[in-house]
Amino acid sequence: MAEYSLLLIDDDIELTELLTDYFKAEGFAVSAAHDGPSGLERALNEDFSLIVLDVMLPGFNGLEVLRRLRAQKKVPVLMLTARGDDIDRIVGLEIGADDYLPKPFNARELVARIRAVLRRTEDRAVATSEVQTLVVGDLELVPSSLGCRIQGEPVALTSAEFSLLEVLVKAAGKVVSREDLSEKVLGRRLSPYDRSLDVHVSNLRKKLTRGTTGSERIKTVRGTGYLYAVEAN
Amino acid sequence: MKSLFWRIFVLAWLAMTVVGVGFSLLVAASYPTARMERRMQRMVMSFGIQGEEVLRVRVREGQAAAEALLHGISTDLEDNLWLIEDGTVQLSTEPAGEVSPMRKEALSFAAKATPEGFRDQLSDLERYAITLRGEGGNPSHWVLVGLNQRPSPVQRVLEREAQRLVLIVVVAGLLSLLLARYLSRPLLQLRAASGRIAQGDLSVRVTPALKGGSTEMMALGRDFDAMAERLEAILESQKRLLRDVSHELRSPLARMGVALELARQRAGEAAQSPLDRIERDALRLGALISEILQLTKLDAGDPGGVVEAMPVGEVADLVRGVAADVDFEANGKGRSVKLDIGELGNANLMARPELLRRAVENVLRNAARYAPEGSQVECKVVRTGDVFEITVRDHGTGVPPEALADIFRPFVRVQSARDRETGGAGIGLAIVDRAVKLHKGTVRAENSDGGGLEVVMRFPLAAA
Repeated sequence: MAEYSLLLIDDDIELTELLTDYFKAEGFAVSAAHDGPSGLERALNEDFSLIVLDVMLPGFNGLEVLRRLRAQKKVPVLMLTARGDDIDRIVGLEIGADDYLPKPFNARELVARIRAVLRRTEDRAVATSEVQTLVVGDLELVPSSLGCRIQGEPVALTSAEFSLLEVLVKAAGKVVSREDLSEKVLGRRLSPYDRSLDVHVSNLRKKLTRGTTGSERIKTVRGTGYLYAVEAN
Repeated sequence: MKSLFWRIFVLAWLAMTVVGVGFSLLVAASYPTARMERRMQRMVMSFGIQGEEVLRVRVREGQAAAEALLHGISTDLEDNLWLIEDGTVQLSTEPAGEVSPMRKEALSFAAKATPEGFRDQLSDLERYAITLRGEGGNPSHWVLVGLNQRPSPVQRVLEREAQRLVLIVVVAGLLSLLLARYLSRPLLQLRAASGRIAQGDLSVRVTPALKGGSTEMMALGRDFDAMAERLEAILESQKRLLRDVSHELRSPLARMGVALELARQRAGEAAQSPLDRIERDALRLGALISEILQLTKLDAGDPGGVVEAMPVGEVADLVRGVAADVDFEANGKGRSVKLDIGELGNANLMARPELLRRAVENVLRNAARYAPEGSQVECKVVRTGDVFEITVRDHGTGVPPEALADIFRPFVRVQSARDRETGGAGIGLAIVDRAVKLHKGTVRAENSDGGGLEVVMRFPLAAA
């Protein structure tokens, strides 16, 4: 199995040293950058399997790094956020981070999430070899390019949002449970107080226009999960 | 009528009108005195001279000519005239052949005649009588009496002045309007500005709006702006401090977490148990820091998030989500959460969703912590009228009655060995207290009959 290479972008030098030791013991190759500009430069010019990005970088803000990175590369990104600061989390996922973990975090959990994101990315790479365009109503999904069109107009989705929409659309009209969604989209078991799914659904809803009947495309089914609404023609 | 503008307007208008109209009437009413009187007096005397002329004409040319002359004079004056000799009417302006109803009046008034002329006004009847001189300038037996319907001076003044009075009232009204506006405007602007500050917008400044006002107003405006600036600066520095403290506290904890895992990897079997304890306490520290920071933010008036109108259905969903999560967590320890949501109808709750979620979560987790193993935590959501009520009840040991209010204070924990086990630091409910107050609601704890603690949160609802 090819070795995965991680880039850590965090201004806490001691922390990156500790993480480097830890990740190496877990079988990863690790590089570190300690400020926004140099982190961004390395991320753009070198190939990494995944980038761990601290949102609270001084000066050149972490979200800005994410924004500029996403403009050019689709490399998976895991955000480190401040616990209790919801805005950063929501905006980060919206810009295109694949997952987040609040500081202070459990190191084992960090590794687990990194592996989950990597697994998802690989699964996606495999899936795109079957170029099957999904069409439901006025919505068109192209897995190979993470492309999405509504009534012909392209809609930019992050990789996580695309996965979520894909799972719902494949089961269009039927409810998909939160547990299933967590496994298939986030690559991990649903844990209590985990709001990532809700944030992704909320961001997705903002990006998708209402259906031709004017109602929400993604409906919440109380106590169970979500479904993609199919319009009766 | 409580508005400043209307009070100034009405008072000023009243004052100006009373002064203006009163003065005008006084002047008009007093005009007839003195000078007027003298003029009238002279007029009466001139009647006398004209009356003597009539007498001479009567002697020279006869009754008819005299009557014609009398009529000529009367027409000029619009008066009714009688020439009376010794109590008998000899000449008059009465229509031919008729006796005027005023003749009796004229005859009795004749008695008052004097050589200089006597004049008075009986309500709207103006009367004068003058004794005529005869040949050689000696007083004769002849009296000239004139009677006329004239409105009294006040009436006359009112009629003539009516237009002027109306003009006074109108002008007074306009001036009062301007005065009221001028005086109340800066105060209204200050009021609007302080209202916005009360709402939380500290960027408000009044100095530009008050430019050109009186020195006192401008000084007040400057003081107001200085106050707002200080408030803004204090709040900003508090926020910054909080951010910095938060960062400084989290960094070592984050490093500790990773170092701990490294230690686990490298240490032997014997070290795992103490390392577990370190991990547990590190987690407690992390949670404690989060809670303290959250509480400080709330107390500093920085609740974060935006207020939005949440339909009651959405609030119920929020509670459902939290209850499911707490239930999941509690199941691992042999406890469960039972949720009961009643008929909610349509209404909106003005809420900060994240804060509301945190409050409900804290109450539920608290209950789950104190519920004995195998028991259930009951959560009920009820809407009555314009009150949204969330009740959480556990079947634990409850809280001593004297401490029921205290548990919402930070770091207060009920005396019990279980506390140290369950790991609560006593801040969760303090956060609930602040959060509920920020939603303009109330929270109360009571010991429920049947044992256990019951926490009731009530929120006011707005129309859908």
